[in-house]
Amino acid sequence: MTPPAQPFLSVEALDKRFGAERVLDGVGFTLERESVLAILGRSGGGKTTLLKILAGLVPADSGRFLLDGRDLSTVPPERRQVVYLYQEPLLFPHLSVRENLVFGLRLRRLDEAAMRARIEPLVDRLGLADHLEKMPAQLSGGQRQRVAFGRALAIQPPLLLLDEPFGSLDATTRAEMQTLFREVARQVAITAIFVTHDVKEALIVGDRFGHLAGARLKLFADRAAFIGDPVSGAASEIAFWNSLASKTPSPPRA
Amino acid sequence: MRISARSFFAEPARRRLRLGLFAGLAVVPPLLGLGYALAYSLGLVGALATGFTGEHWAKLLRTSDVTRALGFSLAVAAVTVALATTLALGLSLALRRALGRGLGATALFVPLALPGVVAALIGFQFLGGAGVLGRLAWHFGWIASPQEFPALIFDRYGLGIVIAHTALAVPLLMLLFARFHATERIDEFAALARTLGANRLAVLRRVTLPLLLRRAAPSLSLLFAGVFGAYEIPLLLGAQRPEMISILARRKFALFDLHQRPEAFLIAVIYAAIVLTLVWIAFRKQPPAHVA
Amino acid sequence: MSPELGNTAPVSWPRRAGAAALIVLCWLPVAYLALLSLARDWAFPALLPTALTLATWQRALAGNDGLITSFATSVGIALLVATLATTAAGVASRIFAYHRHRGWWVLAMHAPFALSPVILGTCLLYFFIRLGLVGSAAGVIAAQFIFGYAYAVIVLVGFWNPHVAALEDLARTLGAGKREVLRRVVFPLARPLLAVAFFQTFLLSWFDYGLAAVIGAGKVPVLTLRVTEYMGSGNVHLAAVCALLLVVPPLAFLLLNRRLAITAA
Repeated sequence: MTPPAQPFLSVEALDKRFGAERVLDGVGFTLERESVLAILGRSGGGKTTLLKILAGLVPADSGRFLLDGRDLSTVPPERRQVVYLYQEPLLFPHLSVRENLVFGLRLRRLDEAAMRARIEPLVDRLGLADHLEKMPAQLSGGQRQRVAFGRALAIQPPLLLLDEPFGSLDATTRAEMQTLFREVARQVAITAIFVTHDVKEALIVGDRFGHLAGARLKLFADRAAFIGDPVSGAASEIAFWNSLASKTPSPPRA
Repeated sequence: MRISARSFFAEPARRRLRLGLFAGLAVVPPLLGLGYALAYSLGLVGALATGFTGEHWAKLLRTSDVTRALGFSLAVAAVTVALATTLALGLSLALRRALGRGLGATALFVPLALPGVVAALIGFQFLGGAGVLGRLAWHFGWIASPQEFPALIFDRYGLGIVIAHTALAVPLLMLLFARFHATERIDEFAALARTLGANRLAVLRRVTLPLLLRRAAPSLSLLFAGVFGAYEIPLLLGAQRPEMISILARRKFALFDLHQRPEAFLIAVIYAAIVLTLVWIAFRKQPPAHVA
Repeated sequence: MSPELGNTAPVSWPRRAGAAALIVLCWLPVAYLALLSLARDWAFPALLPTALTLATWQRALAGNDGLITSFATSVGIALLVATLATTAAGVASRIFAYHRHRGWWVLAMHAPFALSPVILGTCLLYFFIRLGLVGSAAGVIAAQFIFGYAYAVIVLVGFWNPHVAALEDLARTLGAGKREVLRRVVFPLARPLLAVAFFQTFLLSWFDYGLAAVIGAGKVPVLTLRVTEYMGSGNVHLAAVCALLLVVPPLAFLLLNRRLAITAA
């Protein structure tokens, strides 16, 4: 029997404190290729710190982080190939949409033809074809987040970290983006960790699920376990909508 | 947000070194200078130093020229700031819309490009007996000769100094007040006050002026410090007596009689103490976001 | 601010006249200097010069009085001070801005301004003598640098905020090394404010009199010193030429780009 393959991503026993406050306590998990781990947690609960540690922007007090067999714990951020997407769609204000998209490719010194080939399919999928020459200030929040997304995908990172990326959008745009992310993630086959405080969002985007509270990460075996566990709050949401549905008479069909 | 020795030493050594170096570039020279001045005034260093002595400081209480210069400089600075603020506020509020953004706003930048020496030259040419104003007075028949023109420069009251500094300060303050008017949202607050029943005078007194002056306090204190320690304009437009503080310090330093040098440094120490106190008072009244 | 707020009535003519008068007053000094520099025989009580001449300017530009040298000296010194101060302050401002005690470091930068330039120069003269810097352009540059650097830090520290920090981090995760982050992200964004800092530190040196007089000890012939020289010897026409050489270049820059005058305050 062949030994089980090494998980693509493996995080072990991450600890982090800020002063007296412990933000991450023995956090560990594994993740397979081409799957999305949705981590649920309250705002300020250490989710951002976890992502920043994985991106290399903040050092952990202890613990290890392996990606595809490589120990990235001490590698500087620009060499980790782990892209971090903020809640605010942070586009470089002095660059056009096109230049924002190819930013990472320029750093890797691709020639113009190669850059164009790389971003064309993304531009189509993300619906940015009409906006390529615009400056970030001319775009709406949703459009900007799509550009940020495209910019991250353009360099084909092995791991993508998303920190409540749709939090600053209005409800409708947010729903669109969640679906868009799901589709694109499938098509491009990315591996991602998606952090959110909204259980519905977690359920839409995730394949695997976790919950971060009290500096500890609780992982769930599958979707059903996640929904079933009271900490996710999924069950109470379902109960709420069900109770509404039973009390409200359905509108007569026209 | 108190800085503590412990938090400073908690930094890794290399970062501490960098911080210290970059901070030192600006902090060490004044500290060194003040330290030297203090030591000199106490007889610890200097050409004729004989060891620690309090005689120069004691002499301060008896001497008239240092205290007179201090008083004179403070008075000139106070009058200048008061006059410039009043004029700038009045003109800014009255002419804010009339000046607009084009020619008017541009014109106010011109005096900003005038340094002290040039202002002194202009002051000399305009305010002297045979100057522009004097000639106008002659044409109106008010005077018969340059000597009859009132002494505005080289006078006992420092009028020329005040006029020159005020003329430089008013455009700068007008630009500042115009900017604060926008950033402090004076128009919105004024409209709000009107809906609460305030008439135009009340709006001015209770909304516009307090908000503008509060925001401008640090700038006004810096202006005060600048006039207090002014050198070029008093040098060229001032009388022999009374002197402004920087002139006196320089004179005592450069004299052939080296015995006056400790007093020059004593003046430097007092000057720094006064300016620091002033700035401290003014900045304390500010909301934290507005540190210069 | 919505247009409904504030006075929307047309501006009355007394106010417009007042504004016009103020505009004239603002330009008057420069206009007067120009006239003075071109004047010949302008004695009391004439309101206007009896004759105009280019002789004063020709004499000045001919170089015999060393005005060209003075102009070049002032330019050279101011450029060096501005370059050194802005560069050092660019690095320092980032270190201070991202530090826990940012406010205290910025306050510390106000230290040189607790003393007037003349007084600080006098207090430090002993040290400058020991370093052999008195009477040399290097000494003047060093002294002016103290003030220029402190001021530039105060101006530039306002650039660094969490937004910029986030952009820097983002660029790192996209693969940019520290140098590339500076070159591709930070520098383009900071350029306008760097221009302001450069211009203002240039002016600080260009217009300085006290430090050049005290540390230069009369051996560094900058333009500001020449103006007082001519005033002292009664040659107001040459003094006016000198003053115009001093005032017109910065004025031109300022009028072309008024934003150079606005600091973060």
